Order: sequence, then structure tokens, then C-alpha cells
Amino acid sequence: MRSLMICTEKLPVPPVRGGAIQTYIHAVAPRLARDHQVTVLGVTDPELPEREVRGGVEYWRVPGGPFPQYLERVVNLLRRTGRSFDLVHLFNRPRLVLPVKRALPGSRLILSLHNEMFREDKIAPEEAREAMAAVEGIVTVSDFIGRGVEALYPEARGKWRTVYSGVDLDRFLPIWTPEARQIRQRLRAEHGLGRGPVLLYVGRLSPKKGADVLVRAMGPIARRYPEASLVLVGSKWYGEDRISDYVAYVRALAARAPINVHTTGYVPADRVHEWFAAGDLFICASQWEEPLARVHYEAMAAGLPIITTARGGNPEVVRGQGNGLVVEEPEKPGAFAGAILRVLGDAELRGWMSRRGRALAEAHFGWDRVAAEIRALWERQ
Amino acid sequence: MKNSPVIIYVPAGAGVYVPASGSVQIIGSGGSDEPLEDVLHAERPAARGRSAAPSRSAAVRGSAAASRSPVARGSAAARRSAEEWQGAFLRRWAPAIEEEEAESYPDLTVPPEIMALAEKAAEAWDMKVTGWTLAATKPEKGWGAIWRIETNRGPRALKLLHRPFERNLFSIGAQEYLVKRKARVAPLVPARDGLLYTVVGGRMFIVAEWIEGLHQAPKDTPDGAAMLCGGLAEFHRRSLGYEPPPGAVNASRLHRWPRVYQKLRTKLDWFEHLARAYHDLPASPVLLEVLPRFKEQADEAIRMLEASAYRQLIARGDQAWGLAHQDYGWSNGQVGPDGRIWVIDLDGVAFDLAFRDLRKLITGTMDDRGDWDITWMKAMIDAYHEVHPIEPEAMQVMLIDMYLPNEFYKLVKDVLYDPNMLDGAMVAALERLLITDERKQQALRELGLRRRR
Repeated sequence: MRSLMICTEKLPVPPVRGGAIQTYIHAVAPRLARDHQVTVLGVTDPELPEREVRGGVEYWRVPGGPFPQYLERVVNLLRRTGRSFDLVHLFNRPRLVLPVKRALPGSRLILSLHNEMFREDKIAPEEAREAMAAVEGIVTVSDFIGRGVEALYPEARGKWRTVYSGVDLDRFLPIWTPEARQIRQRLRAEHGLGRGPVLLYVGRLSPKKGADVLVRAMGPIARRYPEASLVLVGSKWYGEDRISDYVAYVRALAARAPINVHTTGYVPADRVHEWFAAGDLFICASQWEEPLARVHYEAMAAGLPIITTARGGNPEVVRGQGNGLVVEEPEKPGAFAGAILRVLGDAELRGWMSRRGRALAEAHFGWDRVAAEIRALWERQ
Repeated sequence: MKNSPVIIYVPAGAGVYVPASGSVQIIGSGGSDEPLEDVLHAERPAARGRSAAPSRSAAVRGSAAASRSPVARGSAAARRSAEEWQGAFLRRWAPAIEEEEAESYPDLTVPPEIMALAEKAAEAWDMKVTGWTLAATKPEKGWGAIWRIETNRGPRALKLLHRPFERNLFSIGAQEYLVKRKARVAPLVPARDGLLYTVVGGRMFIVAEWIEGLHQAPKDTPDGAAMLCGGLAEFHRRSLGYEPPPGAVNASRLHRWPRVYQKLRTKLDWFEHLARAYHDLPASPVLLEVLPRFKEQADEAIRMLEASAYRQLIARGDQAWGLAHQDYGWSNGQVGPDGRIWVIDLDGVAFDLAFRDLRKLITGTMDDRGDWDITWMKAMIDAYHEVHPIEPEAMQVMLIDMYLPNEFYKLVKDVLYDPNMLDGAMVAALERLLITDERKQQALRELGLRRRR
């Protein structure tokens, strides 16, 4: 069949500027293109041509900008090309549904949700209901997102299903492999991380991600493990004012932390995996109701025990899985300290969580599985 | 942080503060490959076409811009405060500012490629430019700048906008609307193609008529402040009904108030955590002592806002409330040759409960004067109310907005960037603030702030 996947107005596909949705589309589209004709519509980028075919996938790109402008450009392009599609798979923009349906009245519609995009402040209830009726199914990244839509719109019941995202199992190698060990030794030496243990946080430095709470949790850790390091991976130093104030705050806290806190600054998407290889324990400190951060899959693939928070969809891939612990009160530094000490203090538990994480990643969180589930949905008539 | 590189964006020709430790990578424009020595000892570039007696007090602009510079914010081991850095910057690169009169410009510069873009942009208008004076710069956020240009059609302002394209369409549309409604704002000049802007090298430029003879309203009497408030009220009144043009972002702050209050409240927690982490510094114990007071005020302001008519007021929508200027004060409200207040720098206008501008002007004035003088405050409110009446429920919301501990927040917030500001000077400042805060509470009571007992 001929399928069109429409990305958001934020970042381009392939993910030359990062982005979880963009990474997702970039991973599944070529796999789906083995059996179907796939076109991906997204935003332009100075590094990418307006039209191309790559990995068997056709790419169309229009300028981004505010959503209303993007919507207009998408609709205009669809009308101009006159191309027909059996199916349109929209990503994370319920407000694209009705305009696309008007432009392509003969196409089936599927909507993927990566965030709480059906909230009233994001889409008016009348449009939401119409959009929901217009799509044949809603694919969510977590049960948390699905339940949220259902709570707002009971008619969504039975219409949504969770397709958990994935990770590149060949890039995020388990820490016990020779390749990973080499990267580990290099990074540790380069950045003075010593013999560890290395506590890894990967994500933007913003208040809702909780890095500040984590830094404040290091007291008890320092007492037992004075050689430990907390590594904060992947954030720019400065940007919008709000993030700058917070980054300044975290840096000020880190300067007085009782253990070494190392900030890496911005790390390009194709180098982040190196830090997973260098870690001993992965921590997600999110304070907000996060849909489900992909770093959990990355940590599992790398064979790192996980400590995450009871927020949003994150616990769905950890609680009761044997690959980590869930912190129930993430606003409390002491709660993190307790969980971290529990894992650091028990070598057997650590080893078990480590191997279990990798096993789960291989069994359930590879991109082949994700693509297969999408394909099944596409092919179901 | 050990071993982390410090990246400083430096406008060409500016001074550079080198932190005590850590490697420094300078990203500048024009000359980023110069060794550090050369940058530090570079000749000051001559200001382009400086003319005598420019009419706008850009000294205030220049220093305000410098204090928002990323150098002050980004330097990891900065031992000086933002104001100190700014002072050092001006002393080093613009010593003239201390000798000459307030009306002259310090040695502002823009990178040569920005100047080139500006010259190219000017060609889009049907005018001959015979002189250029750089009047103000905003080096952060990708550069903003204003030039006074002498043209065969009279003096004009050429402005480089630093915000995104669609956001600028909003403020350009607003300025056009206000001019049509006879507000005292500078008329925009259409380019040859009829548009009110041009885009060169991905940057957006506008041209407006230059209002000659603008000068600051007197700051030392309530009359000057009252004038400013009257001018603000006129501005707000004439902005009612504005609808942004197609393609423009709908910039609205109407719904943001609860989030803004909460963000301030959260930062008070950050102050507490830093005071504990830096417990040995002189101001930390004092800060920990006074924090509960201001946290309680912030909590109460949040509660009062929710219990007020705020939700009903904002339900009337953007058009009912018109535009807040967002950056109104003695620099952006100036007295014209007609003796009335003209409003300049409309970049940041947004839909809001416009009386927030009035609130900021009042509390900012009281904070600057170090005293909460009810006579002043009443004069300012009355002057505004006379031109653009404030309904009683809106007045309550404005008083709640005054009650939020903004002065405390402004005093302490730079500690996030430099914890060493928790010094003796901060101790003294906090003690002074406690005293003025008592007067503030008294004034708010007299003005009629309703609080649940």
C-alpha cells in the first residue's frame, strides 16, 4: 500500500537535530518500506534536500515554523501533488487530522501520540471528538498516554493501543562487550571519572527532569562511595532564559556537591551511546508525568540497571520487570539516595538487573518489533 | 565544574572576562580565531558616524543590553556580579559615558556582517541614507540593533529585530494598528514593495520615522511618574481591538499568570537549597532566615490570584484587554516635542491584562527609590485611571501582582549565577529589604488589597 507518515513541525527527519519522534520515524520507515511504499512528510533543514529518496523511503519537506503555518503548508502540498495514499499515519498532532482528511478524503488515518496532545489547552473538545472519530486507531507510546486520552474522551476506549518504542540494539551495546569496554575506559580516563561508580543521567537540564534533585541526593552516596561520579549528559549550557536560570542553579549545586559531578554539555545524537557504555547505573529523575522517555530503552540495551520515577509512563517498563527500581517520591533527594545505595550495595542484584535489561531490550524493544506492530496496524483493514 | 570548557559569546570589540580556571573558548564574530591576548588588547573600533546630540538616551539601553549579555550569564567561575561586569565593560570600552552627558551614546558596536546586512536592508526603502549612528544594541539572542539614519526624507530609525519572524509580524502589526489609532508611537515606513519590513540574510529589518527631541520624563517627582502612567494608559487604550495579521504568532500572556507565579515560587526553593549548600557564606544564614517570609507571600499570592476575578477577566479574551508593552519605563516612555509621552520599542508587545505594565512601573519605581510612598503610588494609579479606568476587580488583581515578592526575587536571583554574591553586601541589602517590605505591605493595605485573615 501507499503510506504517508506526517511528522511534526519541530524537527526534521532523519533526526539530524535529534528528537524522539524523528528517531522513531527514521527507524521504522525503512523497515516498513520493505513491504509498502512509504513517504515521510516533515520539515526542511539546511542540511537536507526538499525531496529525496533514502533507504527506500521517499522524503518530502516543507518549511517549519509555528504550527498553523506548517499545517497550511502540509495541506497545500497534499493538494498540489495530487498523490493519493491508502493510509496516512500522523504523528503527535491531532489538529492535523481533520485538515488532512479534507485534503485526502479517501485515505485511512492513524494517529500516533507521543505526548498528552488531547488536553483541552491543545485542542478544543469539538475538534478532538471529530478527529478521534476520523482516525481508525490511536497508537500511544505508553498506557499512561492512552489512559489519559480515555479519561478525557471515553469514546477513545478500545480505539487506542500502546506500541512501545525501541532502541538501536547495535549502537547501544551492553557494557560487558569488548567494544563497550574500550569506550568505557577511554571516556573514564578522558574525564577523570576514575574507578567509579558512575551514575548516569541523560537528558535536558530543565526543572521537570529533576537533575537538581539528583545532585542534592549525593550526600549519602558520597559517604559510602567517595569515588563515585554523577555524570549529567547532553544539555546545552545556555538557551532560553528559563533554562539558563535552571542550568546555573544546577551548576551552582554541583560545585558544592560532595562527589564529582561531571557535565558533558551538548553531545551529538550519534555519540550519546558512548556515555551509556561508560556508566554503572542509569537514573531518570523526571518530576513530571513523562509519557515514556526513550532513555529507558537505551539504558536497557546497554545493560545498565535503571532507577526511574513513578511519573507518567516511565514505570511501565521498569516496575516488576527486574531491570531496575522505581522511586515513588521523586521530589525527595533521600528517596533517590536510598534506591541508588540499594543497587550499588548489592553486586548480585546489579548483575541480575543488568542482564535482565539487555534481555528485555533484545526481546521487546528493538526497532524490528516496533515496525512489525505498526505494519500489522497498517495492514489490518 | 572541573574540566568543562567555558564558551563565551563575545560581540566584536568587547572586553572579555577570563574565569580563574577552566579553558576558555571564544566564539565571536569577526576575529574568533584571534588569540586571547589580541582580543583583550584590541583597539576599540571607532563608532560609525557618531553625530552630535542624538536625541535618545541610549546609554541606558546600552548598559541594559550589556547586563543581559551572555558573558555575564555564561561564565562559570564568574566572581563578579552582572552589574560589576557591565560596569567594567562600559568603563573599559566606553569611558566616555562617564564624562559626557547622558544623551550621548557609548561606543556600541555590531559585528561587521550585521552592519553589512543593515546597509543592504536600507536599500529596500525608497530613501538615500547619508549617515548612520548606532543607537542601541541587543547582543544576546542573535543580535538586535537600532540605527538612527539620516536620509533625504528626514531622520529615521532602522531596526534589526532579534525575535523569530512570525513573532515580529505580531509587533509590526501592532505598531501599524496603534499608529492608525493615533497613538503616540513612531509610524512605520513601508519599503518599496509595500511591506512594513524587509528580510536580508535571514534577518528582519523595519524602518520608522525618528521622533526628534525625545527626552526622559523627570524621575525625581511624582509628576514625572504620573506623566509616564498617563502615556501608558493612552497606549493601552488605543491598543484595544488589535488583531494580529495572518501569519503572525498570537502572542498572548493572558493565561500565563499562575505559571509565572509558580515559577517564581519554585526559584525561592532554589535559593534555599543554594543557601544550604553554601552555608559558610556571610549572607546564607540571613537568607535562610528571611526566606520563609517571602515564600509565604508567594504562596499567598498564588492563592489570592486563584480566588480573584482573574479567570473571569481573562475569559473576555485578547481583544478585550489589548496590548501590554512589557518593557515600559523611563527609557521606553519619553516626552516628545509636544510635551506628551511617546512610546518606543514595541518589539515585545503581547496581549495581556495590560495593567501589568502599570504594576511593573509602580513597583519598579518604588524599588528603585528604596521606599513605598503611598503618595507616589496613588498619583501614578490616578493618572492612569483618569485616561483608562481600572475596574475594581482588575485593581485587586493588580494589587495581588504587587504583593508577589518580586523585589526579593530580583535582589537574590543572580545568586543562581554567582553564589559568591551571598556576601556582606547582600546581608545589608536583605536587611534593607525587610524594612522596605514592611512599608510595601502598609502601602498595599492602604491601597485596598483584600487578604483573607
